[in-house]
Amino acid sequence: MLFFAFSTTKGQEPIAPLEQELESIASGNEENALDLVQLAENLALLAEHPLEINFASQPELERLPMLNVFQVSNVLQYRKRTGPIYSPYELLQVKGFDRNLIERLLPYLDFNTQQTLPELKLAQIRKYSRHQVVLRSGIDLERRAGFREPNGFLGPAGNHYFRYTGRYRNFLQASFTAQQDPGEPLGPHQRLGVDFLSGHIALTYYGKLRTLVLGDYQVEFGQGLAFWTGLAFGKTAAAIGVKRYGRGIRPYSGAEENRFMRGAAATYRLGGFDLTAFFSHNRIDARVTEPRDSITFDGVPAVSSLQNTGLHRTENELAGKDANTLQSFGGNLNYKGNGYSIGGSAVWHNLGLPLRSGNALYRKYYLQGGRFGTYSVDFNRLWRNFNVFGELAFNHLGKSAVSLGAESSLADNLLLSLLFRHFDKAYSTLYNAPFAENGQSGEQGLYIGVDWQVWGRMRIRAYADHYAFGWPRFRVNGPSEGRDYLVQWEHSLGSFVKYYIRCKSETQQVNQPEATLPFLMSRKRQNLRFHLAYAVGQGWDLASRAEYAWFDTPLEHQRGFLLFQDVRYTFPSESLSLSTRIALVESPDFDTRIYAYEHDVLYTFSIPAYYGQSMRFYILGSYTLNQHIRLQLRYARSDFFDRSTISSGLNEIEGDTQSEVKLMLRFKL
Amino acid sequence: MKLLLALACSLFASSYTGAQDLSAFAGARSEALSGASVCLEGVWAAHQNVAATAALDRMQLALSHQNRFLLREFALSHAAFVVPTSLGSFNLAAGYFGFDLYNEMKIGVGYARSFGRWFQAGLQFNYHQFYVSEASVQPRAFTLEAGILIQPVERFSIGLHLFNVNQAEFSEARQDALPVSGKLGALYALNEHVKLLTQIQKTIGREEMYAVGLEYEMLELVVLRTGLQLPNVSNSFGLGLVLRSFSIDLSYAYRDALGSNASASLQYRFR
Repeated sequence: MLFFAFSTTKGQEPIAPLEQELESIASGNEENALDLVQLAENLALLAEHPLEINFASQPELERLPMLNVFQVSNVLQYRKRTGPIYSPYELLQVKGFDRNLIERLLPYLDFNTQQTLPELKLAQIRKYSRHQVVLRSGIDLERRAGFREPNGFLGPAGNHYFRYTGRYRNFLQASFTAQQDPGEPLGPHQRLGVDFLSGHIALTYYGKLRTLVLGDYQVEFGQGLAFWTGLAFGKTAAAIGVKRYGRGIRPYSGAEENRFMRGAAATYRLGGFDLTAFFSHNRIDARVTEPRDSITFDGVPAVSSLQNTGLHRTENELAGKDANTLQSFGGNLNYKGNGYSIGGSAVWHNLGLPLRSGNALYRKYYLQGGRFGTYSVDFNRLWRNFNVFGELAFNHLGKSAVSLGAESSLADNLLLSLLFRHFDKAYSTLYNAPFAENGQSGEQGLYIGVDWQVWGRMRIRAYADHYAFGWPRFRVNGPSEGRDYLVQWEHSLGSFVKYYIRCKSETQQVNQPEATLPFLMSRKRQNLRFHLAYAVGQGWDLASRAEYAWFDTPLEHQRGFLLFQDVRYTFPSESLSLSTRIALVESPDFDTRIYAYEHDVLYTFSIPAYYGQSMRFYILGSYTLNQHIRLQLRYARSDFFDRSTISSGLNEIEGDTQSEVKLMLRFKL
Repeated sequence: MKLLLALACSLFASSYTGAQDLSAFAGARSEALSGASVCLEGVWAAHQNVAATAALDRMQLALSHQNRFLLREFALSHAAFVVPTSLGSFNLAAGYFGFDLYNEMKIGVGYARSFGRWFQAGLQFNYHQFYVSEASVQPRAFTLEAGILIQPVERFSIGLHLFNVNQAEFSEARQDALPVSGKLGALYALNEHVKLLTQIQKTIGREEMYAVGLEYEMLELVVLRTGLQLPNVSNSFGLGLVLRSFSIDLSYAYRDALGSNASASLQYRFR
């Protein structure tokens, strides 16, 4: 009976508690919205196959985004000292765990005390496999200019997504995704009939063979300096997360159309060593100019840049589709000792058409040519309440990048993070994701973050990041610097009412427009948010928010404002729920836009920019028919009062209303 | 003179009341709290936040009047009538502003009910009519307003009210549209005698308005009120008296640059 007090969240879609984190990540890092899908899928997978807390290794425990490195280490120590953990209540005995945290973890944990390695026999696999199919379609209800104009989009206005995943426990999985963006043509224009396909077959955590993937996968090494194709967070409101948890090879079948590897990869464990090797040959998009040989590099045809929008709607965009090839191979050797690990990686890339980045000064150190390599060493040391980690990387030109960080739980209620990074101005590499502002142009910076549980249910999170670029950047004609700050106060009043107040400030130097000399001026963005979330029981959950945005340069001062109300109702049967928002927005231009996370159908994340004088509304209905079928329908609409056309170019909509409908169907077997 | 006033009215109308919702000024209780009334239960909720009429247990009728800035031509009158039933509360709300050469009228029918003990929601449907004697047409519009009132914990409630969610227009031109506006507020009862109210109001195309109000039940029959509104600074004060089934509210407000306001309202509670 006692157990029930803890088990209330089990069985529900586990995405909700992560929303605030996802939103803050998204609003600081808009272009990475797709990555949230990977995070959400990781959690959905964990919810389906909860982690065996008595057998999970350190990297497996690190898959839980709500645990910090000290909590993970405390679990491991507790297990070593006391033996198996039998219940959530026993977890309370582990240092750094409180009720609140355990409640959040519960959907993802299994407290079994006997582990069995599954047999890889066809009969077993057939019997115990789980299959899932997700179908999603959406359409804009207003026609965009690209669908009317002669040189516009070639395909229909709807967007479609199909995904099949088959899984045998945690060990064997096969996945396949097909995707079509709005305006992308089907059939003869496409080599494979649809715009984008991805998939894989993967074996994971099978004894000494940690991972084996055939097909599409992501690679994550070290602290993300040298090579990292997958998900990586920037500065977030969580404030203290600066460490990268590189997981080596991860099977991939996502919707991001360029940034992944295609081929084969494996990780094998030998004693304390994990040896990873991969090979990939992938067609990628490039910006193509006509005639094709107008750009050359060392006498061979070249491209000016790689394209990663994944949109192939017009003749032009289609011409750039798969216009280049990327061959990558490399490996990583990692040794895990008691409380420390040390690793080294080497990665080589070979582009079919070399890159020639142009003559602009700010592009001088961009990637040039067709052959690149990166080599790095990384370490991680946990000592008492300190975790120190870092990576040192060199590219094929011998230029270096270094990142050195520390996380410490100075007291049970105070976590502190520090991270220093320095990139040579000529350090550039193909796919990486260091914790940095952008990790290019000779960036150097120092980040400090704290998470302090002041008293009971009151908490302060804050960070300060000071950085400088030693080389010009796009629209910044000289060395420049920036400062980012965030302070967030969180407070729970009982379990029904929570609020937080967030102040965020970002200052950078940019070119002064229309100045005869390239003077830099400072550009400051500030946000102040009041957010209140409250539940009244009987299925009602609500949230209210008021947010201000200020945009200041010496030449202009703008202010934006957003007010919204969320109402979510779950019917007593729990099979049907409705979630709706109505928002009033006033933002004179796009500089004062305000981002806010919206509830969307499964495995999609909407973080639209709220701008203009407008009112926005959405409603999402979710219906679970039975354990096999789930259905979601969403309608969203923005009404503008200050304009008679929305968006621009081929995306332009005539009129002051923009609306869309989405349908999602999920089958589980 | 009257023509000049009519002109002034339309200017005033566009910048202060408005094509703004007439209901913003209904009831001397709300006026005494500088308009921080989105969480207040009672008969005047028919104008301030229809959801908050759901809690009434008796039929109530209310009337109020004020001469805005003490000008006869800026007369504002309101009436509200709430009928609680087992299905929920029904209400009628009416407002009139102006004089014979220029006037605005609003008539609304609303419905509100409770969903569980701590959640109330309501909808109201309004008819608006504007009259300018010089003009050849009398613009009309229908608007929809919606509200919710939630009490997540004892002594604390949150209210939201949206006016003109259907974005009604008087004509094709958008500038003739009635503005869309929203009010979000909170009420905190320090004890059974003292209520603290806050509110933020956003009207599309205008600066946000903030209001705080304090209501103190000094004696069982005497209530004192005060309020403050920003950024167009206005201080307000009020007195409420309860006489058996009747109650009377009086308010006085001083607004920077525009001067004094006084209003009175009378409420009757059916037995």
